[in-house]
Amino acid sequence: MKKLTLALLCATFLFACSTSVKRVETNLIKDVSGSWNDTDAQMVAQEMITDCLQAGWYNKFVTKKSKEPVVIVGTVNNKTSEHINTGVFVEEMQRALINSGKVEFVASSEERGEIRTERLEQDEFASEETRKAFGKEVGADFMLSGVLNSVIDKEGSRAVVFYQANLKLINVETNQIVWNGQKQIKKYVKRSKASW
Amino acid sequence: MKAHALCLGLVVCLCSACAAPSLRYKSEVNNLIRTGQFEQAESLIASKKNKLYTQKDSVLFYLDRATLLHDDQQPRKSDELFNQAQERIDELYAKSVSASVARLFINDLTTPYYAADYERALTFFYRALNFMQLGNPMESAVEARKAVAFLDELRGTKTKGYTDDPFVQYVSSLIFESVGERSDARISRENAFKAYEKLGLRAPDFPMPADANEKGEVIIFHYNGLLPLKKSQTLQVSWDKLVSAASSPVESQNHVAPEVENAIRAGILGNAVTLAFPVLEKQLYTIAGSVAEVNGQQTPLQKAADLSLMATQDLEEKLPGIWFRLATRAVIRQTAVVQARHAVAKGADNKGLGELAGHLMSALGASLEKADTRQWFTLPAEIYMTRLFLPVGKQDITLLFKDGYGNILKTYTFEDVAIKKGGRVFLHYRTAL
Repeated sequence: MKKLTLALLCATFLFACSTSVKRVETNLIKDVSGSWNDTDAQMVAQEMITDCLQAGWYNKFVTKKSKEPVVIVGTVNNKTSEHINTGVFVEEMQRALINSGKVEFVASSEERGEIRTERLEQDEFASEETRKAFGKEVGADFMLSGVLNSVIDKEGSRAVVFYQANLKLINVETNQIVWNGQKQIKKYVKRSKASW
Repeated sequence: MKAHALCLGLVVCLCSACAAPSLRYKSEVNNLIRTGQFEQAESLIASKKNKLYTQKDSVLFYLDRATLLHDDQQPRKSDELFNQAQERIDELYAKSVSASVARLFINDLTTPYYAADYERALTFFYRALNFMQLGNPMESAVEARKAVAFLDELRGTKTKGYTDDPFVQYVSSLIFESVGERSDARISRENAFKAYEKLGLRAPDFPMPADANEKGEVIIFHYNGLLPLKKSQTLQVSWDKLVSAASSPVESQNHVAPEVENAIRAGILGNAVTLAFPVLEKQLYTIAGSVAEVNGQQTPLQKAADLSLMATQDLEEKLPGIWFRLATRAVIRQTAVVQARHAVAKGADNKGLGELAGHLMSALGASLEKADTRQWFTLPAEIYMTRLFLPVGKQDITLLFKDGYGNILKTYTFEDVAIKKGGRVFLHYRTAL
């Protein structure tokens, strides 16, 4: 009986100290630290793109040019107090734009550079039938770029964090801003001052 | 016999329970820093994981290594460790109640290492510079924003001691300028000057040439010297003669741990209580300044940060708390000694055995008494800096390191530094000779 109790006690301590990992749904909203997270990136991207595609510029362009606009995602500057991977945000926006089926999309400048290098190499190493020619790229009509700002009001263990994402759609030919969208997220974070 | 062996075993176990990086170990690492062997010094620290640095000292484990990797011009690896340190500091926001209570009974080493405020501010500086070196000014600006937010909070909550950091504010202003955030840059610059004035220090002043727009800027940081090291100072207070210091051994670099020495002394003195507290020991270095030389033109670097002073002020700020806990522990331990002596003497009806129990309890108490000598010790003692405006193109920049008499002790050349019009390059070099 004593041995059993001892074993149970040991097991309790062992389990208490082990790391626990649990798979969760990717769309599960879970805030751990209160910092910017994947849910924020998804929310902002989805809502901003929906707003962008419903704005007046889209119908104007389609009516005038009789084709779908070609868009490129430019830089989203991080002006917050957190190291935010804006790449995740940019990818989310790109996915939302492509899936809308309303716009065509071209690769970003970084991806284009890689593809051009590949084309250069094909010029030297690929067979003539499979080689891809230069000068056939599709030029973007609009560039989507933006900035992510944050304001923190903090006192002791309490903080209110206000995120503001500003996105602009700029006509590549004329530099005209055809759409300016904004999405705000406000979080109240309270941290425990003591632990056992 | 069995009881004696048990007591001895208990003393040994408790002695090893709360280990901290010793003075001897810190000196060993410092010797590698003196000779510029930063990577070897970092490896030595890494090998002490779970030995000298336990889980509760993980902040120090990351900080000590991250600094050396930064000094070794490995910004990416250095930043990974600084990031881990900052995350751990954040996790430790919730103070452990049990560890705080244990401080009153055992010693100050029972709590996790909560980085000092000046140390926290410096993590932002180091990370900002790492990002600049990696060519990522936007991420560097994130660190500058974090630094400014942290220092704003300090100014709002503290009235005494370390309430702002002029150097970190000044560097933040430079970083804000680099990403075009001029308003933030101006505010940080103003805060920096106010903080320098408050500390009675001269703010660095770098004249800007009339043709600065045609040139590129190079900002050089010279990390110099070794931070004063915390070591353990102990007092044996004889209780029956009220309060009188019987002896005051200081932690040395010999092989005997101070807590073992204390246990022996306390066992001999019997009715004495041992108190241990940290004191700072200045580290010697001869380099007292530096000059940057480009195309025969020399510009002296200016002292921008005195980390030795910050470490000293931080300890002074913490001393009242340390003394309070020392006094509490002394009372608790003396009560335990008296109780043990009386209980054993009464139970065994033998005054001699009671005395022995008192001596053993006293030795046990002394063996537990350890000063908290933990610190981010791989930091330099002082930071010099300069801002050079140089013609566009590739330039060799030589640093001449001088002693107090102006003799050149060492030189180092940053070769082929690419200067772009309107651009800014951040460079750093560490000496500890």
